[in-house]
Amino acid sequence: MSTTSPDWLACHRPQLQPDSCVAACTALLLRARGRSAEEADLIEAWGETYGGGYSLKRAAERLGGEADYRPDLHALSFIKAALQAHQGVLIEVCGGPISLLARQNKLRPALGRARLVEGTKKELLNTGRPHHAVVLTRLEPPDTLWLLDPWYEAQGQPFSTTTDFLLQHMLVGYVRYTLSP
Amino acid sequence: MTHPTHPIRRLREESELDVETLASFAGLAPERLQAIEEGGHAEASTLDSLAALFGMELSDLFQLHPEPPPAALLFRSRDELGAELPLWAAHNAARLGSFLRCVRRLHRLEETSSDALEQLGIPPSQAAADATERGMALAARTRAALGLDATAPIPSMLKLMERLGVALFALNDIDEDPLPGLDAACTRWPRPAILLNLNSSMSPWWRVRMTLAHELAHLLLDHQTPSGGNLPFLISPHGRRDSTPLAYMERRANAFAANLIAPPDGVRATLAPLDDPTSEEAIRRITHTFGVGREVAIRRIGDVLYPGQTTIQEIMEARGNPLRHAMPTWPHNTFPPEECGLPGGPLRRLVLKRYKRRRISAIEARALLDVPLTAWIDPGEGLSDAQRKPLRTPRDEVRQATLRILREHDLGTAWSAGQLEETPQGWRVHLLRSTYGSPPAPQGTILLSRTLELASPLPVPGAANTGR
Repeated sequence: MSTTSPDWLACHRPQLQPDSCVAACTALLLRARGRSAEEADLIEAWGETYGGGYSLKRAAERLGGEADYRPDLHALSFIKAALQAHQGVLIEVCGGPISLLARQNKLRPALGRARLVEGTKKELLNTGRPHHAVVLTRLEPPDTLWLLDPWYEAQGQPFSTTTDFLLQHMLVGYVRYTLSP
Repeated sequence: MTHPTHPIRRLREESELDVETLASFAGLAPERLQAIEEGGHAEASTLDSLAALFGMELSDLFQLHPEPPPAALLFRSRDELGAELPLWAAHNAARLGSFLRCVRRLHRLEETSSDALEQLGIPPSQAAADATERGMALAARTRAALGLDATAPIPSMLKLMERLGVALFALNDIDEDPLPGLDAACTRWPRPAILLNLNSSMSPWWRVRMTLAHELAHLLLDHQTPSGGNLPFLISPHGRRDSTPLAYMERRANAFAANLIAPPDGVRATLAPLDDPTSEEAIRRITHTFGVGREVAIRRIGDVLYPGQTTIQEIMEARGNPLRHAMPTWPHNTFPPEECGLPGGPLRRLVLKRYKRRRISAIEARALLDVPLTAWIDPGEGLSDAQRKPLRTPRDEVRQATLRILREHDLGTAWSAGQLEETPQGWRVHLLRSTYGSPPAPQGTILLSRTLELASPLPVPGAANTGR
């Protein structure tokens, strides 16, 4: 646990593959902890999964913690507490709502890709697929959350959302740090 | 995030509880608690329940330099206060912890804080002189500080508590005693508050008045331990009569309560016109004038008119079984049933008001009231249906359970739940695989039971159905 916040933006890198968001976010969090970490190394270590993308389980094993797919009020308590302790939190989110936030913040997709999901505001709010991973970096009390998204270039990031939007529209899972001795 | 000591263990040790005792408070096997303290997996809800036992929030477990938990001092003071304390705590720990948590939430939410009790200028008081005399003297002093005439009744204890800024919480379970063995509990920290046991068989309005006055005594006088440490939290057991410091506090609070509600000069003035102050009419006048029960009325007549002599109760018993008069109704003293429960009372009122005016978010309101995302918020304070309705539907829960299963089987972000069909046994979920730049591709179906457990093999060769 740190008493100062890392330079989050300096830790951001665009994800190398369209479905490697979990690896990119894990590497980002490791860099924020002062470790030398690359997404490519994680992908190599983790190998391919059936169908694409990684479960947060992989990230949890690497970061120390456990994947929790119960996006309830307890999850919010954990997330807020971790952010207050300057820990970033890796979360899995629905693709539509996070794309809506990215569009509202005029973020540019990295590496010449298109947006993760396209559609009207209503469509985006109701589109879960594909799922995506991002990193929550800061809590601005009472309920503003700042996040970094590896799908997009660093310019314009971090960008913000609210705890209401996170729980009502986006969150499906997160990596919970253990309270182990 | 690592800690030198697991926070649950730290809380337990600060409270001087052993593993077996805390496990029994939490309804866990000691081995399970031990495993959690050693860093083993625990559901968030289990950690939340453990935090609540100490009056803490789940998020408090992460604090680098946490404040001492509010319940710890009660647990720790058991040797000073009386050896039976753990017994009461065992029956009530969860609800007392919830009460303390509600008080802390209320304090955080309030925009102003002033301690009207402090302004009364009654200093905390240690066991010294005779408990009854001390309670009587402090009640007189308190009445004077409140500007009450020496003979005047107190029309509403609820209003008096409001004036003194004491937050009132209450439990009124119909089927069981909500706080076995306890009339009430109170805390001075972080703001004055009382938790009332309104079990219907024990809590007629006149008894509630006495209980409130009794707790007021604790709030004013007993927020220190016998050895002088801060004791922000006290419980009031039913009818305790022994020689422990807690018993002294209880006797003094009883005397305080009786003298606050039915002051000696008031009792004398009320009985003065009567020829026989031990008559049934005398008792009726005391109950009706001061809003006390029959038993207290008889005791007050005895204490005020016949101190140190044969009690009036014995005089009356010698006459045979007197006809009992009906108790009057007493305005302004009914604790509204809809205000009962934890979180409830002043916390619920304030949260709903703030939420209605959009001063706090839907999620914050639910977190403060412990209302899950899948449940309706109970009506109140003019909230609209749109504000009250669940934020997640049962179908959302099915999708979420599916994701949990897929991810546990190491199927990554490409996988999700598509169309859902309800079946007599549960749910059939159509799986989809979505990759960047392609439309979602169907990947077969799985069955989930009514309890949202996987009830069929995963149609995914790579996953091999070997998840945890």
